[in-house]
Amino acid sequence: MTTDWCDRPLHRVAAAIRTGAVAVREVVDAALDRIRARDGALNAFTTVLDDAALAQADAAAREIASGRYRGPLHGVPVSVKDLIDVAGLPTTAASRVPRGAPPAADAPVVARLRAAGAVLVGKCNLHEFAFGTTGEDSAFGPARHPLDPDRSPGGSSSGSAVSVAAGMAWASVGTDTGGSVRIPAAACGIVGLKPTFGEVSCEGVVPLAPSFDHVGPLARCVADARLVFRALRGDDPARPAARDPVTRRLGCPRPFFLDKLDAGVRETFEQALERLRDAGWDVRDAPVRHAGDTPAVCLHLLLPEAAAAHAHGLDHHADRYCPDVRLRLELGRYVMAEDYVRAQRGRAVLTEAVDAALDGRDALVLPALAVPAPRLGAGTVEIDARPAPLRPLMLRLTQLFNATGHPAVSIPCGPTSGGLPCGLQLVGRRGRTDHLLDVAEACEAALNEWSASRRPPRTRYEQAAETQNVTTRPAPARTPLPASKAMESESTSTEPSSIGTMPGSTSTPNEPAPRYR
Amino acid sequence: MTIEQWLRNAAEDAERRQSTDLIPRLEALAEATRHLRGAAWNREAAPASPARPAPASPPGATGRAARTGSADGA
Repeated sequence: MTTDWCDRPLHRVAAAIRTGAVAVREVVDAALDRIRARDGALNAFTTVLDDAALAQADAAAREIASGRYRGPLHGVPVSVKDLIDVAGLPTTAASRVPRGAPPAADAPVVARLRAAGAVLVGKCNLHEFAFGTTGEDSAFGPARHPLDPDRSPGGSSSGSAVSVAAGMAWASVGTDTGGSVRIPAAACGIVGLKPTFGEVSCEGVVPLAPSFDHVGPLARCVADARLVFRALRGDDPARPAARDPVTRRLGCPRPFFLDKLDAGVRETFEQALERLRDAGWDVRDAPVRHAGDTPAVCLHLLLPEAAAAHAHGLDHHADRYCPDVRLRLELGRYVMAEDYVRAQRGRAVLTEAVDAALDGRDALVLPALAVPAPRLGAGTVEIDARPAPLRPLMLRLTQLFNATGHPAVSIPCGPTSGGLPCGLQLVGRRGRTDHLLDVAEACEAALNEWSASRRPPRTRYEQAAETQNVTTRPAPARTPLPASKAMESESTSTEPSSIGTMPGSTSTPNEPAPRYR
Repeated sequence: MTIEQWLRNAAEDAERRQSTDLIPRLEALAEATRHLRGAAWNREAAPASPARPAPASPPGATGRAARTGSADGA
């Protein structure tokens, strides 16, 4: 068996499955082997579904052999953020806060993946309740960056990004409330899509801030992200999406968005713009009016929504949250109603401003993440020789489009001179996610060769990871770390155990967990 | 309520609940609230809003004092 398949894009593997060039079982085995080999160090998964995945693989193989090919996800291993319901498995949200009994039904997005024939290999680690950008606050310990385990892969969909970047799944489903798909995609050098608000169902997903929450795919290239996005949206795979021509006109909103950037990110982004211009793209300045008000507007909307979603948890299990997550949730209880109303007005103003900046352009273009993957434990980073708080910086370039609902995608444009990935973000018109993906695919083609030429030699860590023996132990289904361990450390020493019943989950009130219904 | 009054009340509440770790975050939120109330669109919108009263000392949203953190002379 070869694990080469693990490093190929989804659409190539799908073509091979369809023609019989590779067996579904071989592909799924390769993914599970890769998980066994690498997840001990990377901690991307909270649950691995070996037996169930193999059973799905065999069922898919039988269907395909009998002529019932469902489409390009048929037989392809994917992962899902552990904030999304999968029938019969606990939705842990990477938290020790009790979540009640495991859901009886799949979230619609999971049901759609299954209907498309995808093979679910596991559920992925995340920043607790998706309320953070590093993945560090997790009851399972932090997921780690595939290129450097001392760094964060970004979050909150940290494990999802790692699972795709490290070849443990061909795509993953994440959630994005302030950038939680695009940030880890940028940090890990993969593609992450936040669709238009409301385009993909959030039912069966633990809410954070319902008017900001989006579900979207992480994948290795735009074509793969499109395949998964269309499945999540419930498209008929036999019916192509309507496509408008790409005009190759981009707008770059420099004020605010390019004011505070890591020097390496700035250099890489500007070089990527030059490369696009060389390839015939018209890139002009397109400021977003009032963009500097984004953090204040988002804070006064998102915090109270999150506090409302977690009211029961804060009242009954406050001590079970990771401390930083609890403090941010508590903060939402102090936002004054009058300021919430002001912020709603600000959201409308900013939505119009983004629409105006997009006038005459295919998309806005800006970096997705102001810094490369940060070191685990870092609270500040250096920007222009001054320390800057990390968390607001990581949200700075993405959260506006959660407030306004515009679709946005991060595609790789790095690495930086330091060898870490860098994301280029494209923002499209509301309701025009398919066109945004067309634009992203064209930009990706223009950047790919240049980006590949800048790729640094593989790190010693990568080489070691790829040459280590594949173990034969069962892939781990994890239980949360003891509080003292997970809270303090960056340890990933979780041992395999039975699929995660949450400590304390039967001894506390089981109010139904908040969900979209 | 002015931002200063709000912050004073909120900090006292956090202390009473022995959640003093919250206080620096409340101070940061107060700074964001000053920014929000001082936003150009907020100042522009305020006089036209029929729902807004027009007190002699407006509640922080429209005045320069609010933007500098000393709303209503507090």
